[in-house]
Amino acid sequence: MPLSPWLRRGFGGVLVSGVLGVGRVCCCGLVALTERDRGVAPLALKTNFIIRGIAPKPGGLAGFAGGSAGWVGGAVGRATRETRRRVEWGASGDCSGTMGASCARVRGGRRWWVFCAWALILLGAAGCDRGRGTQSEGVADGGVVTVYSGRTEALVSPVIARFTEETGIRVRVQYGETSQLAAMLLEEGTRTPAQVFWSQDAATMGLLAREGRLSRLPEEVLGPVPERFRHREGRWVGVSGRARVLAYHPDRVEVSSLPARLEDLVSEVWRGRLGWAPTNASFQAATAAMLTLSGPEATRAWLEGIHGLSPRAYPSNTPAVLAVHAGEVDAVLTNHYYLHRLQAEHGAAFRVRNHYLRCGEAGSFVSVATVGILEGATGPSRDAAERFVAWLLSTESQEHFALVNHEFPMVSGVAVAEGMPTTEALNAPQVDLAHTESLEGVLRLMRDTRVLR
Amino acid sequence: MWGSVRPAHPWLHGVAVAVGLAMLVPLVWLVVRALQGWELVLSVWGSPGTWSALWRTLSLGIGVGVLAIGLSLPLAWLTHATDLPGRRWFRILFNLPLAVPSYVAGFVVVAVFGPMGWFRSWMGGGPEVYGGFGATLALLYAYPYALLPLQAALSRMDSRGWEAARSLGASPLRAFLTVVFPALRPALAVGFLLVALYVIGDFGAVSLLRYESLSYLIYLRFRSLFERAEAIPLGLLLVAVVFSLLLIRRWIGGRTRLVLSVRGGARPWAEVPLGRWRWPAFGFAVGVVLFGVGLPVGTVGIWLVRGLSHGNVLPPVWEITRNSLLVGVGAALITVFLALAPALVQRFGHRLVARPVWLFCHLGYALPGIVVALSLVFLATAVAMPLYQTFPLLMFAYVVRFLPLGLGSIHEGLQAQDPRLHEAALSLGCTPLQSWRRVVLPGLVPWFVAGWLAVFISTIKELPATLLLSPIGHGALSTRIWSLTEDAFFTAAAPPILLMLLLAGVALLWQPGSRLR
Repeated sequence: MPLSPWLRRGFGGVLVSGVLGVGRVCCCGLVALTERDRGVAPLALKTNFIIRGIAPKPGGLAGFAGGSAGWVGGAVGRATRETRRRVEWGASGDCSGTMGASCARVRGGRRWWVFCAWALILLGAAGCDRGRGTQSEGVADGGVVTVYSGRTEALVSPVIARFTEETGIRVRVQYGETSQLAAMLLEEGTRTPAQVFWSQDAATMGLLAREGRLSRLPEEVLGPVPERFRHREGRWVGVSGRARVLAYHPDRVEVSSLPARLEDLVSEVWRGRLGWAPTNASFQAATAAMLTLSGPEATRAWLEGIHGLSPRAYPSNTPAVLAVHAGEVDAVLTNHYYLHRLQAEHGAAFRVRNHYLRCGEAGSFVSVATVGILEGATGPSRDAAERFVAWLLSTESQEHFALVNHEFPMVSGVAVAEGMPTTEALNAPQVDLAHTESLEGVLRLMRDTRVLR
Repeated sequence: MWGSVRPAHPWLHGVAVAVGLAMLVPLVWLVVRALQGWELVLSVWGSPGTWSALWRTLSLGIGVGVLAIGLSLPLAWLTHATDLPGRRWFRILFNLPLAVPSYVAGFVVVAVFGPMGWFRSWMGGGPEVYGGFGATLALLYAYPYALLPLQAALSRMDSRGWEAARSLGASPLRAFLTVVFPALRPALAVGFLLVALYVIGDFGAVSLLRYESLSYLIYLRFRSLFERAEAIPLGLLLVAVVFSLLLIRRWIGGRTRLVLSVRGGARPWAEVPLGRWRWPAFGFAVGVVLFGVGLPVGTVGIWLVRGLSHGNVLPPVWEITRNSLLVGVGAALITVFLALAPALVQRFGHRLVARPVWLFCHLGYALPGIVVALSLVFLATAVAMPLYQTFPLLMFAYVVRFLPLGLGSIHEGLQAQDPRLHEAALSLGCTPLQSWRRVVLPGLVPWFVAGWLAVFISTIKELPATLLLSPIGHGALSTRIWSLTEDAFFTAAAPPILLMLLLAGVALLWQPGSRLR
């Protein structure tokens, strides 16, 4: 049975829109490509303008129209054919034998065309939409800065949006896991499109600084941050802090039995009641502080001691704190701000509490999210990057971190959220936050003691 | 082998080889990195921890694979050949668990079967959820990878063999075992392979349930600042696992090539009456849907309702949904079309070309997403910088990751097709290319759609490749869900998870044999 002319016409529409749709995808790629270039070459600018300003809308519309035409053509073609067959074969509805075969083929064929048509309608719709979006973006153009952020979108995007509002500088952010982004930066080398790296922790920054990937920040940016929360050569600076705590359930743990130091946890009282997240970067950084302050023997003894109490290991902090709530364990070593997050989720029913150790040792370690400017950022993008870093340390941003995210501000004089101690009251130990050697040592110790595999 | 009477088109061989070589990128990267530190490779391979992780990986992969085909076979049979009430709806619902990301499945399993889960409090005890039991349960959410090819096979299978067997006096069970089951073996083999490979490459569920498999170790090493190099030998070991699983697939697939469907002559299944088993079967189907769809939707629904009652806000999701949809649709289309060449060569081509290409194509799927993503970062920054962080490269990453999903489905479709059709076309004067275009391919549409579905749903779920290779500022559903659950924004994570299920559900309306539209 030959393909009906209707279907063929539908096919033409699909084909045209298909070509346009593929063109759209390529255009998107080109836009991304031209935007990535920091020094704006005239040719790139021109292509960019053509693609963003003129090409997308007709392309998208044509894709949309072509896809729709394909859809309609296919449907009408099928309807015509059905009618004709009904006329030819009578209304017996007999669908066996050879007739059954043609039925099956028609059904399969229609699904296929309709499917293509739908895909292209979607592509076309995207073409129209994207064209609109990029045009309005180009209005207030104060430059562009590209940021790799190991901090998650939910925590930092409001601050970034305010920055663009204030300065007109557009921020392009690649969110990801801190360690993966660092691996990516090392893999990219000097050709990275990023100017700023925002890390969950200080150790990753320490590694990048050691590899020579970070440039020096200007003094006036560093100024308001205490020295222990920034790199000694000024290659990175702390943005917000998260304190190590023991999160416990008040019904099952007496306040009087809470430890004053991490070492107090090594006691039979806690057998089978503890949880921890040994693969977590903050845990490892705090243990590295213990290694620096107390030496390898004491650290090994502590790790073995806790490990001997058969604690439950969790892959990260959120499930650990949830486990206290669920009653799997009575207390976990974690960061302080998951509790506030989960309280916001569960309301008053979430009865877990934070115990700040405040001992001035590893137990009261504060891990900081840090930011640095990558080596190789020059010219206008370097200025934009510096303004971005300065914005993160402004009072407004610091208040956002403190009051909305429940973190500890790095700049003195900024209020903390209700019911939380001030940054100074945490009594954080005086250690090099990004001391990569001690972190390596801790990882070795954790493998030796079989805490990690 | 069928079709070796005439040599296949050399041009097709060329395309297939090109596709196969492109899929080798992750392996090449692993080997290049391994050669940079050979002593380390030997020391990692020599450590007992590695071998126990390897054993755990293999047992989990094979165990979940067998369970998945054991579950899929009755489900596919019930919805395609029996008078099960509401079977057309079940055809879609049974496939929805595919859209549950594995870390969400992990959360659900802990919430239900964990030490304080309601299952335990209700049963008054139960097996320890952390470890093999929980990991198996959470990864069983991938069973639709086995169900999809089975459904495609059943929808094209000729029921006359079954009817003949029944009319000759065979009991339903005997007729099923001797006539239907052998014909389904290729589909079962593909399903087993896809589930097992998915399991050994998964990270989300095994980390949450503390099952220390190879992929878990690989992720830990990559996340660590100093032990990154140790991930390389582990990745190479995983490649060896892939090879062994491919051998198992050959064994399940069997050597016989039963041809039950002649294109043009297939007859839809007559309904087999279930009799008094009708309602127990219905109960079983409802149970599977409750576990696969009800539990995740219920858990996420609780997050949403509870969070909203405490004043949490929901970020807009329109843009990320659109991004996921577009990239998913595009990547899935490209993947199934690229899968065509290796599948045709596997069926009609020279085995010296077909076998290595087949093998290469499965590598990217079984390796953890992070290995594939980093290998492409390496490749693009080294030789194709202008493509770096653009949509074409992202699409390519998805192709490397998910080609076997399209390939398995299409290959299985080719096997179910009578090769005499192709040969008849050749003898009537068609060139091989013409024969494929006019005879072979049109009969493959259901398998194309099945493959497309599996790739589409996997793509919108894929996390590491999307995180690392997306154009800057391109958010997607999977990355949003990950980042929100990471920081315990469960309320805000609920709409993206539900949307992902919705997208998958809508896509499943295209499924072969579904006549809901």
